[in-house]
Amino acid sequence: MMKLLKILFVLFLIVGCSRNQILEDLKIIESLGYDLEEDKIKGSASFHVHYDVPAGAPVKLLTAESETANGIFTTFTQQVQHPVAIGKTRTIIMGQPFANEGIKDLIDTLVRDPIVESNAKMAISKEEAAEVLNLSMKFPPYYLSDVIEQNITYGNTPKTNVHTVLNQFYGAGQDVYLPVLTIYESEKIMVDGLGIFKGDKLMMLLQDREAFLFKIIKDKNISGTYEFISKQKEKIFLKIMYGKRKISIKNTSQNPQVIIKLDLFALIKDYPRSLDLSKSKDVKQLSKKIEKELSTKIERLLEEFKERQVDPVGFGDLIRSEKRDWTQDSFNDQYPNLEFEIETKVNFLQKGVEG
Amino acid sequence: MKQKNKENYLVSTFFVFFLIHSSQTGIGLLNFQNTIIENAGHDSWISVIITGLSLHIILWMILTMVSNPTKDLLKIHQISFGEKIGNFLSVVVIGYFLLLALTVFRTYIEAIQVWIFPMIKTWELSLGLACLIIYIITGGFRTLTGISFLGVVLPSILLLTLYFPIQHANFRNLMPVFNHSILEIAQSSKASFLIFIGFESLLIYFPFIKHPSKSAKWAHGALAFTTFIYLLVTLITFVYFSQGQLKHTLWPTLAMIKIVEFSFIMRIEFIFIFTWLLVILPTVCIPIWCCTRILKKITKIKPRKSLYPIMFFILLCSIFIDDSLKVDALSKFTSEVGFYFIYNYIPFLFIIYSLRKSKFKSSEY
Amino acid sequence: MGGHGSLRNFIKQKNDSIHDLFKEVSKSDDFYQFSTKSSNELPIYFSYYKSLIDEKKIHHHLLPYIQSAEEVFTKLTDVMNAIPIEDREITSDPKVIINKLTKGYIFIHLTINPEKGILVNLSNGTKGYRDFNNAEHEYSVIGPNVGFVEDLDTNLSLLRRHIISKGLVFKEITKGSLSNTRVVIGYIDGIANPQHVQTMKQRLEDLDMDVIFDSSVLDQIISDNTNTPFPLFMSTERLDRTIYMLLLGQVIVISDGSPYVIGGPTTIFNFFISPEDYYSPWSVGSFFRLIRFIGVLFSILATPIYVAVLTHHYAIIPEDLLTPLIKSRANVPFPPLLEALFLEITIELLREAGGRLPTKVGQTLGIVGGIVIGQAAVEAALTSNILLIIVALAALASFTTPIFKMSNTIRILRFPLILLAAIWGGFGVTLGLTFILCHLMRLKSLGTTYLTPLYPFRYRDLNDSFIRSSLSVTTKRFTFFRPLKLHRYNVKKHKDIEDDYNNE
Repeated sequence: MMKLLKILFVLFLIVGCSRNQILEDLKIIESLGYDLEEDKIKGSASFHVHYDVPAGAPVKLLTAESETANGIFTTFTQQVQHPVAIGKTRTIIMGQPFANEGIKDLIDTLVRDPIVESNAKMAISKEEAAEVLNLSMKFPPYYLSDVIEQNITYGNTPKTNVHTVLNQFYGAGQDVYLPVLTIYESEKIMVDGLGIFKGDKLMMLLQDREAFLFKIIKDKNISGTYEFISKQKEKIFLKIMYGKRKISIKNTSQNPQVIIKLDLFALIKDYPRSLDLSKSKDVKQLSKKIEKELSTKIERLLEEFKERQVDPVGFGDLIRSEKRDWTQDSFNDQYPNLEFEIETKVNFLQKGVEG
Repeated sequence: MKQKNKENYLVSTFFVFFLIHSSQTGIGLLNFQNTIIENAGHDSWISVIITGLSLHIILWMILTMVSNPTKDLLKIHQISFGEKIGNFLSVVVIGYFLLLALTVFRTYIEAIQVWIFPMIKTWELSLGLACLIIYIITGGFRTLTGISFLGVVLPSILLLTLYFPIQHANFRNLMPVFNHSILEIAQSSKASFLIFIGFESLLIYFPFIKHPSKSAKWAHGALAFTTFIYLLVTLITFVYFSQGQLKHTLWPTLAMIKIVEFSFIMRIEFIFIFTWLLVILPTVCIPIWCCTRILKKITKIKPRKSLYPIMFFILLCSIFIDDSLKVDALSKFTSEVGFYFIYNYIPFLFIIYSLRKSKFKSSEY
Repeated sequence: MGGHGSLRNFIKQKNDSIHDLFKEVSKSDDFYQFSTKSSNELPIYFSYYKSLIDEKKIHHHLLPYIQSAEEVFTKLTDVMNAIPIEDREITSDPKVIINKLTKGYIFIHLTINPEKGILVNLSNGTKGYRDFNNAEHEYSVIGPNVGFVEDLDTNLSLLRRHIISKGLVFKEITKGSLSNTRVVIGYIDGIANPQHVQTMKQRLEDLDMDVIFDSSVLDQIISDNTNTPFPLFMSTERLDRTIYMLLLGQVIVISDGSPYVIGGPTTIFNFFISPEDYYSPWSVGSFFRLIRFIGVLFSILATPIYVAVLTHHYAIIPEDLLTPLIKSRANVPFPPLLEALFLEITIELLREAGGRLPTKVGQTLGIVGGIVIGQAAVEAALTSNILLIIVALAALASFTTPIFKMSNTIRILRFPLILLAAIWGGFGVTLGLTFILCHLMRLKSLGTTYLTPLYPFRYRDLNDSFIRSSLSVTTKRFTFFRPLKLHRYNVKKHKDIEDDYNNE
């Protein structure tokens, strides 16, 4: 046993310090941004300096230009005094032109690298990604990912992270969807809707309301807030707390028909005061209005998906799990003929303090 | 040649469960999903069940051969093929066990290099791990059993982390069930073999068990438990990853655990890999111990002397296998060799042994 | 002629040998001889080591009876009958004489150069030893605080008074070529496995040492493996812990001049049980025992994990902790390894120095060392305050083990792990932990594996290892000590307690 100890001791002396990644001697990148500029990839990275810096030395965004998705790191390394570490990168933002061109290269490198977190968020930005990142440097660390995370839990964004993106990108019968960030009043960063991809190219953008509808038909966490004005000019606002959803397919071979049943439990916050929600007649009336609104809007959304030939809800995958000899091409032929039938049921949880 | 070992070197029968289970669960569990979906896709969980169940027959054959009276593989070879050829075959078996140990050893170092320390050279990690392995094996069979026991009990906490991927699960990934032909499922069974080999070292350490007649239930139970764990991991992998994503993921089990995070610690897969050391240690140490034991019985070289050259050989090999392509090739090669050893050689040995054992009187044991 | 001559030579030799003995012994100034006259004017000589005997006993119990005896003394046996002390014998063997003289006996002879004389026991065994026996180093809040003292006879009497059973057997041997220390093996006959007693006896008889300073010297020589930092024999100062050892079937060794009793065979779990666990309800006792185990794990692992995470694995740290950690380490010029070693060694220095300082200086320096140095080190940016907290807590946690020897071991186990953490990060820590685990598995204490009942796994003996089960469960002794009788006591339900709800 003493022999072993001697070997270990000698080993300790041989070993150098170049493989250490000591915490404070790293540039820990919080968010990466990718933009497209005349066929070249323009990359940016935001980080925070956690200790006090002298006043005259501002902390600036790292920027780089390269041909490949990973080439930006070469230029990053040339700009900093510590090695660049991407192990704690929580957000990857892509500018719209970049997303339109195709994100396949980026995803291929993300798959290969075990150092990137599975729970990191990817997002599209309407403005340039570098601008968004620059703005985010003024906020506390990890602001962007917190914003997106918070919206996934409490807002109208369905759950996405690197894992779901990879799942959807490589999986059959499913298209990628990502949240969209935008700069609001030139100093706030806002989540605004969803971006739907076809393959690896960005195809359409959903607005916030449509994102809510998408969330309740796709996401496990059926929640969100929605407001609309009914045909009778009544303003209604509801907050879905939880719900149940059942999607089934009839007749998978010839003319498939999708039946979506939603059972929602909502809090009504704004409703026409002429109605008295302690009376079941009024409750029925209001809930019928809401159900009609939701069903029509969802159907419209799904028809739009059909038109643009994108399938973020995953009907392809649904049919694949029922049909024995499913192929992507056969689904592509079927998809335009898909019929939807939506049934929504809204239950009110509380009616407010006053009746 | 007395087959009964001294009382204080024996371990109680209860530990057969842990010995068999821990010698099977090795490094294969971390990346076997890629190989099995090549043929049967999302139905390969059936392949896992088939492989696991079929091994019970092989285990029964092994148990019949080594019991009544208690003997080990060398004696079986001598009975079946005569002394000279039997000993020669036993020496060949040394090579087989070395291959097993080397595969698990090198693949684990590879996992550490890919996931945690890309910059550390292979020889360093191998040297450190080799020192630990030497220390364990020089403790004797009882220490090996202790490591097997702790190598099952302590990492069982990791089973709890399997709960988290289920929250992201999409159960439709498993449907439609039985969408592949029997041939494809059988091919996947063969591909899944790497994770099941390891239990045949029972042939060598069986004389060290107290009350050998009672060991059958523990042995079969261990095999069933291993199959159950593998089935669980396979199913969870399939509901977590889509098939296409799985094809592109290296080390799926670790990628699955990446999603787990707590408020005080992120990246649980680091903890997972480190605890995995306890899981692979029995898988590496038991075959090496078997090699030194066979050498001791045939050539009378003392195990302490033969251990160091064996470890040096493994170190040298692991340094020469220096990129991941070679590691994959090694795993595939071991899987093939293991398949032929377990499915072809052991039944063959069983038949020859059953024919020739009646010619030996029990007093010659 | 030759035969008679040799016989006479032989007798002369014997006569001369006591004379030679006295000549040698007189070199030391505390060997005293005086004489007194009895009633018939016959001189009686007394020879003894002045430093060993109890002066009072000579004055009250010996001389009055001899000087004022009415009978006439003509030979030794008359003198012997007059002495009221029971431990007396007549001998002429110089070896026995010197042996007993050095034990505090007085040699009474009737001539200047005697052939034989009476040896009377007038020793004062407890002179110079403390006579209060609080268990100072193994303190417990509740329960008796009785500890052993340096005098062997006091210790034996304490034991006898608590185990009032004929089964308690003491076997005495003398070890140590210079010190001739009395070493006693104790066990309960009928419970302790005779193999253990035999092994203990064999090992003690085989050992050779010049001075037995303390029972830990015996511990180190007879232990199964001297290269391990783990204590292989239990060493305790408390009476109740010793009694617990005896009744479980362990064998104890008491050495004269040492208040610590060693016992074996032990398992590692014995070192984490405290008498207070048994004097509190079982849920409270179990909770504190679990806290002890967690404290030990924390103490070994906290600093290595800090070094490993900060040197290699920054990705594990949650985002909210990044800012405090980086801020605290921003101005520290050393890598985490050196910082951790610096702090750990400072704490060890404080502990070593604190044990040797006189009390008054010690208190002040404790405050200075603990608070001021720590604070100043952080201000001077030599260390980070997070590491200071971790190291201080780990140091505190290492003292939760009731047995001092085990807490010493825990203290030093940390350092190799810190080094391994700096080289190989988390992989190094795991390697080190597995190494320690494997080492523990190979240890044997008097033939019993050190990690029982964890490995080899005995389910029924786990009831007193990690938790302290209620007394109604611990009715059987541990099987791994192989006692002759397993049954300890019976459990009876209370006759007067009923189930209220069913009966109301």
